[in-house]
Amino acid sequence: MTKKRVKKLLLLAFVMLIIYVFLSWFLIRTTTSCETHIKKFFKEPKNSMDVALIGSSEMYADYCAPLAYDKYGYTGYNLCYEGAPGQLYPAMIETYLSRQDPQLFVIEINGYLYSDKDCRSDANYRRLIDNIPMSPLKVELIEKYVDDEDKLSFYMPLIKHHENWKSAHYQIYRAARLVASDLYGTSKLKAFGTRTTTNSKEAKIKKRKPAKMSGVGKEALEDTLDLLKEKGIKNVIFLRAPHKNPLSEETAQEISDKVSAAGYEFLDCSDISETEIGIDPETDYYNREHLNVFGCEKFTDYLGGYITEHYDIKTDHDEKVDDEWKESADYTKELFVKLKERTLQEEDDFYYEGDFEFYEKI
Amino acid sequence: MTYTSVSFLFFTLGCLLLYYCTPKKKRWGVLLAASLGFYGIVCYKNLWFMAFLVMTAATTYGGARLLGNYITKTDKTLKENKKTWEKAQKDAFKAKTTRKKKLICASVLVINFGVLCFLKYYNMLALTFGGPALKLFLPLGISFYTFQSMGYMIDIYRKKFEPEKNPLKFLLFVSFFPQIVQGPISFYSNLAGQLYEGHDFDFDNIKQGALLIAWGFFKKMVIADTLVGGINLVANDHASFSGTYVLTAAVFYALQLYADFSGGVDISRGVSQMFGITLAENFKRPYISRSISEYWRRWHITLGAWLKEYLFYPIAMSKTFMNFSKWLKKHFGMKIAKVLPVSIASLITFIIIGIWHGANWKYAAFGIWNGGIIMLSTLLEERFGKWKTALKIKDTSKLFIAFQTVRTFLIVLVGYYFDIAPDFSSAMEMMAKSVYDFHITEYFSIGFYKTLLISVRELAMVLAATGILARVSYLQETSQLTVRERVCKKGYVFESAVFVALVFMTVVFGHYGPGTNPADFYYMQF
Repeated sequence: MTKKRVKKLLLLAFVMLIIYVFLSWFLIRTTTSCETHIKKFFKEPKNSMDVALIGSSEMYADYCAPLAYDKYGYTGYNLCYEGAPGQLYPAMIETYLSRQDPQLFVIEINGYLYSDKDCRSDANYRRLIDNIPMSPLKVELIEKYVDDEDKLSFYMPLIKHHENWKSAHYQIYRAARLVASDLYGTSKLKAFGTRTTTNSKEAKIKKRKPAKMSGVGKEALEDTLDLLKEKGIKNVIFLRAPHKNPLSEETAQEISDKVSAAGYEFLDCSDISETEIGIDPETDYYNREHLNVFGCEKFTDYLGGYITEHYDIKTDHDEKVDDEWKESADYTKELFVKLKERTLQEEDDFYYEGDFEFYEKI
Repeated sequence: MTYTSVSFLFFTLGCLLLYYCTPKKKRWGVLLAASLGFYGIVCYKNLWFMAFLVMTAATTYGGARLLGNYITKTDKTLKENKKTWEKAQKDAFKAKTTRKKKLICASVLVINFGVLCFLKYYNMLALTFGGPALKLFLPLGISFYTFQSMGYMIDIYRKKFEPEKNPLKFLLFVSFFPQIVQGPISFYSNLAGQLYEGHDFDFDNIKQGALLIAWGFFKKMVIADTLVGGINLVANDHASFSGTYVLTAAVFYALQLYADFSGGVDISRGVSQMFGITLAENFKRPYISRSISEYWRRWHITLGAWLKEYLFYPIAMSKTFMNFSKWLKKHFGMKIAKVLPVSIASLITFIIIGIWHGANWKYAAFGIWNGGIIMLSTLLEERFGKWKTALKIKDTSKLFIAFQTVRTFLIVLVGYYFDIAPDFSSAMEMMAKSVYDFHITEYFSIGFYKTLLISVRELAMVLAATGILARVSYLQETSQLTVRERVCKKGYVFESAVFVALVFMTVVFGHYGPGTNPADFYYMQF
């Protein structure tokens, strides 16, 4: 082969690589919230978080990090997404540790309560891993958590996501949103989402069975504890955020026993939600499992207070980090005023992190 | 590892590197190792399939060597005694040697076709005649390599060439990896020399091979695999669907089968071309055929050629048929004597084609349908000619050509009902339903396509892809050069653009990945 031919082949390979990379970016779809929450986590400055918050949707709906910063001064990004199963919590912890060195981990336990089927859902794995940029961490997570037969489709996500050509209009919207989000830089709300309703009707009608841990959930809890010990993490709160359906006593005891045995703390907020936290089930939830902005404000205040009271969190930050968090806190406070109005009006609309940036909803 | 997997592409790439880095004389060894490696990987759960492949190669090689030596020896004896022996003595010797030659050849054929028929048809016969059913598996590619090997054996018997002396080289002829899964079935005289000769690296072969592979992937993954779900759904439970669904499934099947089989063969041919090996063409735009005989000259050409060479001619030229022809000539005249024996030989060939497709009587019906139509059209050819003259229809008239093309397609479509239906009676029910229970209005409902497991967007995409297929077919039909030769003549930018477009259309629009159920190549099962 002549040099010219080799050059031509290399050029062709380069063009194909560019197209492949573009299509991989353009056609991937997980969900708006997890895409933003996870991608934005990697935009945060390294070692800028005092507290690591991990969990599924409860974490971004019930707790608002900029509000906690505003009152208690600690930084803590919510690395969470809807349906995050417990068996991926270790992966999320590893993800957190790949960029941050937090003094405390707060882990919401709802991921351990999903059914075995939900826990094994391919979509839940993709929501996390597909949104992590290609890095040694991503390779490690794929090798560790994904079944052998599916690994290739995690390394080459087009294998899975190419079918999204069928909804090209949505992909264009998503691409525009991602570009806009990238232009904004770091996350303003540090992973937050809500729904503008009080869900007062549903609260009176349905009553579900108390939550229990699934088989996979139990294994996942063990794995999480093992990883925390392996990584030498000392301060961890296993948290049950307020829910209208409380944990069964046996489950609460089981989790408490396991967590305590590992030297960590279990904080069940369902039982104390109405008393100590002051959450009103008639007005402070947007559905049975998630708080609305009113509930979120109360719970953030409670959790922030609990953390600062029980743990010695040092809050010395770079000036740049503090400026950015202050800006976030101001923005969030303004946003909450509007969201509260809309909640009282029972607007019943979803608001996700990515939407706040792209949509001029507010 | 299937032909449309990423691992196959890497496997091929590795083999290519190894092939061109090996000294020319030993390159066939790389192909043999690759072929056995490929077969071993594909059948890793059933490695004993390899025993059938080796058995076919060993018996054919041994039989051919025995036959070859015997032919050489007897020819030498005849030559030595040419002047001394009387005619009667020569005839007696020839008769004796012919018997022995036939015995050797037939033994090999019986062993190999016997194994194939037993594995393929035992359970069908047991079901029909009430025998015990056995759990039998059909080793991958057994039909293709058996046909190819037996063609070689018959050619040795016919003294077309000397038998191959190197058993490993012969094993390569039987097992050549790009074609073992679903053909094309090659003649030894066309393929062996190419396999054993070490080809020089030719960048044009690499480019054109890559284009052909990309085209094969496009046809298989974008068109065929997108349609297969709806076809299977309707075919497996036709009673639950109206005739509109059944007819649509049959039309989808026509498209899916062609895209699947020809796509697979394109991949085989493309991979071979990268090694400098030209495999026979297996399809020549079959759906533009103007008659069913033309269709069979354009569809699965290598099987047709094999059957013509080793089945049709031997039947048509056999003593029985010659005598039958003479008898017809005496009683019914020259015309019938000329046409009827050939038509019967053709019908027998088609019944065998049908049965080759599967161990089910519906396939025999498929053969009878196709063979019967050809037989009838041969017998009535003169009558049709007269009608055409009376109606002043010219063969070159575009309208008449269109009529013939549509008519032929419909005849082919009827044959496909036997293919997709679970059995003969279901095929008949499905055909009837397609006529009496057809409601055109169903096509205007989005639910109709959803039921066929295809969204409107996917349907639009398949139609667009079919449009590309039709355009490429037209270009191929109207030119002596292949389309890829034409593409490559237009220079680097154009050929690269075509390649990139094909690759990414397949990557984006192809039906594959987790959650999908990619279909195996349809002809793998044969």
